[in-house]
Amino acid sequence: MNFGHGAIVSGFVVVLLLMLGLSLYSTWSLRKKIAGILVVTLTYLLVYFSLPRMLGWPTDRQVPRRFNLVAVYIQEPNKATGGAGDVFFWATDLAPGADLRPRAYHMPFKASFKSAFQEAQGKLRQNIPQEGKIELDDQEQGVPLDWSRLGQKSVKLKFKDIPVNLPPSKDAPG
Amino acid sequence: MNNANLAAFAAAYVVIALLLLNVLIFTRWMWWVKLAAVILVAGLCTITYRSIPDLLGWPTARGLPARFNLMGLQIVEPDKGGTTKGNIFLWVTEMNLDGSPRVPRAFVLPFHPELQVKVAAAGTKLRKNLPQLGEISTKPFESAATDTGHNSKMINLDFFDLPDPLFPER
Repeated sequence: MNFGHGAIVSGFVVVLLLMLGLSLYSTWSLRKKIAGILVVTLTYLLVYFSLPRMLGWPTDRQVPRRFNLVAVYIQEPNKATGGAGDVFFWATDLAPGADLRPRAYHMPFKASFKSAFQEAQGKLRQNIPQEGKIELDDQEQGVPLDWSRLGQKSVKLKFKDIPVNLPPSKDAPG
Repeated sequence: MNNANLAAFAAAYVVIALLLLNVLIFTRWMWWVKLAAVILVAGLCTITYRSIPDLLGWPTARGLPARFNLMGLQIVEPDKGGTTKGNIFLWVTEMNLDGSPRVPRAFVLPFHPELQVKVAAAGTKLRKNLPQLGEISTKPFESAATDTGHNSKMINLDFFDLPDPLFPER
Protein backbone atom coordinates (compact mmCIF):
# COMPACT_ATOMS: atom_id res chain seq x y z
CA MET A 1 0.00 0.00 0.00
CA ASN A 2 1.58 3.25 -1.11
CA PHE A 3 0.35 6.81 -0.83
CA GLY A 4 3.45 8.79 -1.87
CA HIS A 5 3.34 12.42 -0.87
CA GLY A 6 -0.04 12.01 0.85
CA ALA A 7 1.48 9.65 3.42
CA ILE A 8 4.26 12.11 4.25
CA VAL A 9 1.73 14.93 4.70
CA SER A 10 -0.40 12.65 6.92
CA GLY A 11 2.70 12.02 9.03
CA PHE A 12 3.10 15.79 9.46
CA VAL A 13 -0.54 16.11 10.54
CA VAL A 14 -0.26 13.31 13.12
CA VAL A 15 2.84 14.91 14.66
CA LEU A 16 0.97 18.21 14.78
CA LEU A 17 -1.98 16.58 16.57
CA LEU A 18 0.32 14.88 19.08
CA MET A 19 2.08 18.16 19.81
CA LEU A 20 -1.24 19.94 20.15
CA GLY A 21 -2.47 17.30 22.58
CA LEU A 22 0.69 17.62 24.64
CA SER A 23 0.51 21.41 24.64
CA LEU A 24 -3.11 21.48 25.79
CA TYR A 25 -3.48 18.50 28.08
CA SER A 26 -0.05 17.53 29.46
CA THR A 27 1.39 18.50 32.83
CA TRP A 28 4.53 19.83 31.15
CA SER A 29 5.97 23.16 32.20
CA LEU A 30 5.87 26.06 29.73
CA ARG A 31 9.60 25.67 28.95
CA LYS A 32 9.16 22.01 28.04
CA LYS A 33 6.20 22.82 25.80
CA ILE A 34 8.18 25.52 23.95
CA ALA A 35 11.15 23.14 23.60
CA GLY A 36 8.79 20.47 22.22
CA ILE A 37 7.35 22.87 19.67
CA LEU A 38 10.86 23.92 18.59
CA VAL A 39 11.99 20.29 18.19
CA VAL A 40 8.90 19.46 16.11
CA THR A 41 9.38 22.56 13.94
CA LEU A 42 13.02 21.63 13.37
CA THR A 43 12.02 18.09 12.41
CA TYR A 44 9.43 19.46 9.97
CA LEU A 45 12.08 21.60 8.29
CA LEU A 46 14.57 18.71 8.21
CA VAL A 47 12.12 16.39 6.47
CA TYR A 48 10.80 19.16 4.18
CA PHE A 49 14.28 19.94 2.87
CA SER A 50 15.38 16.28 2.74
CA LEU A 51 12.44 15.13 0.64
CA PRO A 52 13.39 16.86 -2.66
CA ARG A 53 16.94 15.52 -2.34
CA MET A 54 15.52 12.01 -2.41
CA LEU A 55 13.69 12.56 -5.67
CA GLY A 56 15.14 11.78 -9.08
CA TRP A 57 17.43 8.99 -7.89
CA PRO A 58 16.86 5.52 -9.33
CA THR A 59 14.75 2.98 -7.48
CA ASP A 60 15.33 -0.76 -7.37
CA ARG A 61 11.69 -1.53 -6.68
CA GLN A 62 8.51 -1.56 -8.73
CA VAL A 63 10.26 -2.18 -12.04
CA PRO A 64 7.40 -2.40 -14.56
CA ARG A 65 6.78 -5.69 -16.38
CA ARG A 66 6.56 -3.86 -19.74
CA PHE A 67 8.36 -0.61 -20.36
CA ASN A 68 9.51 1.75 -23.07
CA LEU A 69 13.27 2.16 -22.72
CA VAL A 70 14.46 5.78 -22.84
CA ALA A 71 18.11 5.50 -21.79
CA VAL A 72 20.61 3.09 -20.20
CA TYR A 73 23.75 3.57 -18.14
CA ILE A 74 25.84 0.52 -17.28
CA GLN A 75 28.63 0.47 -14.72
CA GLU A 76 30.71 -2.66 -15.00
CA PRO A 77 32.10 -4.42 -11.92
CA ASN A 78 35.41 -2.96 -10.82
CA LYS A 79 37.89 -5.41 -9.31
CA ALA A 80 40.12 -2.60 -8.07
CA THR A 81 37.41 -0.90 -6.03
CA GLY A 82 35.33 -4.02 -5.39
CA GLY A 83 32.29 -2.41 -6.99
CA ALA A 84 29.74 -5.05 -7.97
CA GLY A 85 28.54 -3.07 -11.00
CA ASP A 86 25.15 -1.53 -11.67
CA VAL A 87 22.65 -1.20 -14.46
CA PHE A 88 20.65 2.02 -14.43
CA PHE A 89 17.86 2.54 -16.89
CA TRP A 90 15.26 5.19 -17.56
CA ALA A 91 11.92 4.01 -18.83
CA THR A 92 8.19 4.71 -19.08
CA ASP A 93 5.69 2.14 -17.89
CA LEU A 94 3.60 0.66 -20.70
CA ALA A 95 0.82 -0.59 -18.42
CA PRO A 96 -2.58 0.93 -19.25
CA GLY A 97 -3.24 4.08 -17.22
CA ALA A 98 0.34 4.28 -15.93
CA ASP A 99 2.16 7.57 -15.36
CA LEU A 100 3.67 8.70 -18.66
CA ARG A 101 6.71 10.34 -17.07
CA PRO A 102 9.96 8.38 -17.36
CA ARG A 103 11.16 6.80 -14.12
CA ALA A 104 14.73 5.82 -13.22
CA TYR A 105 15.42 2.25 -12.15
CA HIS A 106 18.41 0.34 -10.86
CA MET A 107 19.26 -3.32 -11.26
CA PRO A 108 22.28 -5.23 -10.07
CA PHE A 109 24.85 -5.92 -12.75
CA LYS A 110 24.45 -9.23 -14.55
CA ALA A 111 26.11 -10.25 -17.79
CA SER A 112 22.72 -11.18 -19.29
CA PHE A 113 21.27 -7.76 -18.39
CA LYS A 114 24.31 -6.02 -19.84
CA SER A 115 24.07 -7.76 -23.19
CA ALA A 116 20.30 -7.21 -23.40
CA PHE A 117 20.54 -3.53 -22.49
CA GLN A 118 23.53 -2.91 -24.77
CA GLU A 119 21.70 -4.40 -27.71
CA ALA A 120 18.64 -2.28 -26.92
CA GLN A 121 20.82 0.82 -26.52
CA GLY A 122 22.34 0.19 -29.94
CA LYS A 123 18.88 0.10 -31.48
CA LEU A 124 17.81 3.23 -29.59
CA ARG A 125 20.75 5.00 -31.22
CA GLN A 126 19.32 3.96 -34.57
CA ASN A 127 16.01 5.56 -33.56
CA ILE A 128 14.28 2.21 -33.09
CA PRO A 129 12.17 2.43 -29.89
CA GLN A 130 12.62 -0.53 -27.56
CA GLU A 131 10.03 -2.30 -25.43
CA GLY A 132 11.44 -4.13 -22.43
CA LYS A 133 9.64 -7.08 -20.89
CA ILE A 134 10.49 -8.58 -17.52
CA GLU A 135 9.53 -12.15 -16.74
CA LEU A 136 9.85 -13.55 -13.25
CA ASP A 137 11.22 -17.04 -13.13
CA ASP A 138 8.96 -18.72 -10.57
CA GLN A 139 10.59 -22.13 -10.80
CA GLU A 140 12.69 -23.14 -7.85
CA GLN A 141 16.19 -23.96 -8.99
CA GLY A 142 18.14 -25.74 -6.24
CA VAL A 143 19.45 -24.11 -3.09
CA PRO A 144 20.28 -20.36 -3.05
CA LEU A 145 23.98 -19.61 -2.85
CA ASP A 146 23.32 -16.48 -0.82
CA TRP A 147 20.81 -17.17 1.99
CA SER A 148 20.30 -13.45 2.57
CA ARG A 149 18.66 -13.39 -0.86
CA LEU A 150 16.23 -16.18 -0.03
CA GLY A 151 12.92 -15.45 -1.68
CA GLN A 152 14.44 -13.27 -4.39
CA LYS A 153 13.25 -14.43 -7.77
CA SER A 154 15.45 -14.51 -10.81
CA VAL A 155 14.42 -12.23 -13.62
CA LYS A 156 14.51 -12.64 -17.39
CA LEU A 157 14.75 -9.50 -19.49
CA LYS A 158 13.85 -9.29 -23.16
CA PHE A 159 13.64 -6.41 -25.59
CA LYS A 160 11.74 -6.07 -28.83
CA ASP A 161 11.39 -3.29 -31.37
CA ILE A 162 8.34 -1.07 -30.96
CA PRO A 163 6.73 -0.50 -34.37
CA VAL A 164 6.83 3.17 -35.25
CA ASN A 165 3.44 4.60 -36.19
CA LEU A 166 3.95 5.70 -39.76
CA PRO A 167 1.34 7.75 -41.62
CA PRO A 168 -0.92 5.52 -43.75
CA SER A 169 0.10 5.02 -47.34
CA LYS A 170 -1.78 7.06 -49.92
CA ASP A 171 -2.47 3.83 -51.77
CA ALA A 172 -4.10 2.25 -48.74
CA PRO A 173 -7.83 1.65 -49.07
CA GLY A 174 -10.17 3.86 -47.11
CA MET B 1 19.37 8.81 -2.01
CA ASN B 2 22.17 9.50 0.43
CA ASN B 3 22.46 8.59 4.09
CA ALA B 4 21.86 12.17 5.32
CA ASN B 5 18.35 12.14 3.87
CA LEU B 6 17.61 8.78 5.44
CA ALA B 7 18.94 10.12 8.73
CA ALA B 8 16.48 13.02 8.51
CA PHE B 9 13.59 10.60 8.19
CA ALA B 10 14.94 8.42 11.01
CA ALA B 11 15.17 11.55 13.19
CA ALA B 12 11.55 12.36 12.35
CA TYR B 13 10.47 8.89 13.46
CA VAL B 14 12.40 9.30 16.72
CA VAL B 15 10.67 12.64 17.39
CA ILE B 16 7.27 11.07 16.73
CA ALA B 17 8.09 8.20 19.09
CA LEU B 18 9.20 10.62 21.82
CA LEU B 19 6.05 12.71 21.41
CA LEU B 20 3.89 9.60 21.64
CA LEU B 21 5.74 8.46 24.75
CA ASN B 22 5.10 11.82 26.38
CA VAL B 23 1.44 11.68 25.40
CA LEU B 24 1.20 8.28 27.12
CA ILE B 25 3.02 9.40 30.28
CA PHE B 26 2.15 13.05 30.84
CA THR B 27 -1.45 13.40 29.68
CA ARG B 28 -4.57 12.40 31.58
CA TRP B 29 -6.35 11.15 28.50
CA MET B 30 -8.61 8.08 28.70
CA TRP B 31 -6.76 4.81 28.06
CA TRP B 32 -8.64 4.18 24.83
CA VAL B 33 -7.62 7.58 23.45
CA LYS B 34 -3.99 6.71 24.20
CA LEU B 35 -4.43 3.31 22.56
CA ALA B 36 -5.95 4.98 19.50
CA ALA B 37 -2.96 7.37 19.35
CA VAL B 38 -0.53 4.43 19.47
CA ILE B 39 -2.39 2.60 16.68
CA LEU B 40 -2.62 5.78 14.58
CA VAL B 41 1.07 6.59 14.92
CA ALA B 42 2.17 2.99 14.28
CA GLY B 43 -0.04 2.81 11.19
CA LEU B 44 1.16 6.11 9.78
CA CYS B 45 4.82 5.29 10.42
CA THR B 46 4.36 2.03 8.50
CA ILE B 47 2.56 3.75 5.63
CA THR B 48 5.12 6.56 5.29
CA TYR B 49 7.99 4.06 5.49
CA ARG B 50 6.46 2.00 2.71
CA SER B 51 5.64 5.08 0.65
CA ILE B 52 9.17 6.41 0.40
CA PRO B 53 10.18 3.95 -2.37
CA ASP B 54 7.08 5.10 -4.26
CA LEU B 55 8.60 8.57 -4.51
CA LEU B 56 11.95 7.38 -5.81
CA GLY B 57 12.89 7.30 -9.47
CA TRP B 58 10.54 10.09 -10.55
CA PRO B 59 12.10 13.24 -11.96
CA THR B 60 12.57 16.24 -9.72
CA ALA B 61 12.31 19.91 -10.64
CA ARG B 62 14.97 21.01 -8.16
CA GLY B 63 18.72 20.59 -7.82
CA LEU B 64 19.89 20.31 -11.43
CA PRO B 65 23.71 20.48 -11.22
CA ALA B 66 25.36 23.54 -12.78
CA ARG B 67 27.36 21.25 -15.07
CA PHE B 68 26.37 17.71 -15.92
CA ASN B 69 26.83 14.78 -18.26
CA LEU B 70 23.69 14.11 -20.28
CA MET B 71 22.68 10.44 -20.21
CA GLY B 72 19.18 10.61 -21.67
CA LEU B 73 16.30 12.92 -22.51
CA GLN B 74 12.63 12.95 -23.30
CA ILE B 75 10.67 15.90 -24.61
CA VAL B 76 6.92 16.23 -24.09
CA GLU B 77 5.58 19.09 -26.18
CA PRO B 78 2.61 21.13 -24.98
CA ASP B 79 -0.66 20.25 -26.67
CA LYS B 80 -2.66 22.83 -28.54
CA GLY B 81 -5.62 22.44 -26.21
CA GLY B 82 -3.53 23.71 -23.31
CA THR B 83 -4.17 20.72 -21.06
CA THR B 84 -0.49 19.69 -21.14
CA LYS B 85 2.08 22.43 -20.62
CA GLY B 86 4.94 20.34 -21.90
CA ASN B 87 8.06 19.21 -20.12
CA ILE B 88 11.65 18.41 -20.86
CA PHE B 89 12.96 15.42 -18.93
CA LEU B 90 16.70 15.02 -18.49
CA TRP B 91 18.66 12.09 -17.06
CA VAL B 92 22.06 13.31 -15.99
CA THR B 93 25.08 12.60 -13.82
CA GLU B 94 27.12 15.28 -12.12
CA MET B 95 29.98 16.30 -14.38
CA ASN B 96 32.91 13.95 -14.13
CA LEU B 97 35.75 14.11 -16.62
CA ASP B 98 37.64 11.28 -14.96
CA GLY B 99 35.06 8.64 -15.86
CA SER B 100 34.48 7.62 -12.25
CA PRO B 101 31.11 5.97 -11.68
CA ARG B 102 28.25 8.28 -10.77
CA VAL B 103 24.59 7.57 -10.20
CA PRO B 104 22.34 9.29 -12.74
CA ARG B 105 19.47 11.45 -11.51
CA ALA B 106 16.28 12.42 -13.33
CA PHE B 107 15.12 16.04 -13.65
CA VAL B 108 12.17 17.78 -15.23
CA LEU B 109 12.30 21.27 -16.71
CA PRO B 110 9.44 23.40 -17.98
CA PHE B 111 9.07 23.27 -21.75
CA HIS B 112 10.46 26.13 -23.80
CA PRO B 113 10.81 26.00 -27.61
CA GLU B 114 14.39 27.28 -27.53
CA LEU B 115 15.38 24.74 -24.89
CA GLN B 116 13.65 22.03 -26.91
CA VAL B 117 15.86 22.81 -29.91
CA LYS B 118 19.03 22.70 -27.80
CA VAL B 119 18.09 19.49 -25.99
CA ALA B 120 16.99 17.76 -29.19
CA ALA B 121 20.31 18.68 -30.85
CA ALA B 122 22.21 17.31 -27.85
CA GLY B 123 20.12 14.14 -28.06
CA THR B 124 21.03 13.69 -31.73
CA LYS B 125 24.72 13.97 -30.87
CA LEU B 126 24.29 11.60 -27.95
CA ARG B 127 22.83 9.00 -30.30
CA LYS B 128 25.95 9.40 -32.44
CA ASN B 129 28.07 8.46 -29.42
CA LEU B 130 29.21 12.04 -28.81
CA PRO B 131 28.96 12.53 -25.02
CA GLN B 132 27.28 15.81 -24.13
CA LEU B 133 28.18 18.19 -21.35
CA GLY B 134 25.29 20.36 -20.17
CA GLU B 135 25.61 23.67 -18.37
CA ILE B 136 23.03 25.96 -16.82
CA SER B 137 23.15 29.16 -18.84
CA THR B 138 22.80 32.60 -17.30
CA LYS B 139 21.53 33.96 -20.61
CA PRO B 140 17.76 34.41 -20.72
CA PHE B 141 15.72 32.95 -23.56
CA GLU B 142 15.38 35.24 -26.56
CA SER B 143 11.65 34.64 -26.76
CA ALA B 144 9.27 34.72 -23.82
CA ALA B 145 7.46 31.47 -23.18
CA THR B 146 4.11 33.07 -22.57
CA ASP B 147 2.31 30.47 -24.61
CA THR B 148 3.65 27.51 -22.60
CA GLY B 149 1.75 28.51 -19.47
CA HIS B 150 4.56 27.63 -17.10
CA ASN B 151 4.69 29.85 -14.06
CA SER B 152 7.88 28.37 -12.65
CA LYS B 153 11.26 29.88 -13.40
CA MET B 154 12.60 28.85 -16.78
CA ILE B 155 16.07 27.31 -16.88
CA ASN B 156 18.20 27.84 -19.95
CA LEU B 157 20.87 25.29 -20.82
CA ASP B 158 23.85 25.06 -23.14
CA PHE B 159 25.33 21.82 -24.40
CA PHE B 160 28.88 21.10 -25.51
CA ASP B 161 30.62 18.06 -26.94
CA LEU B 162 32.54 16.39 -24.15
CA PRO B 163 36.25 16.16 -25.04
CA ASP B 164 37.72 12.69 -25.37
CA PRO B 165 39.55 11.66 -22.20
CA LEU B 166 43.27 12.16 -22.66
CA PHE B 167 45.43 9.19 -21.88
CA PRO B 168 48.60 9.87 -19.89
CA GLU B 169 51.85 9.68 -21.82
CA ARG B 170 54.03 6.65 -21.14
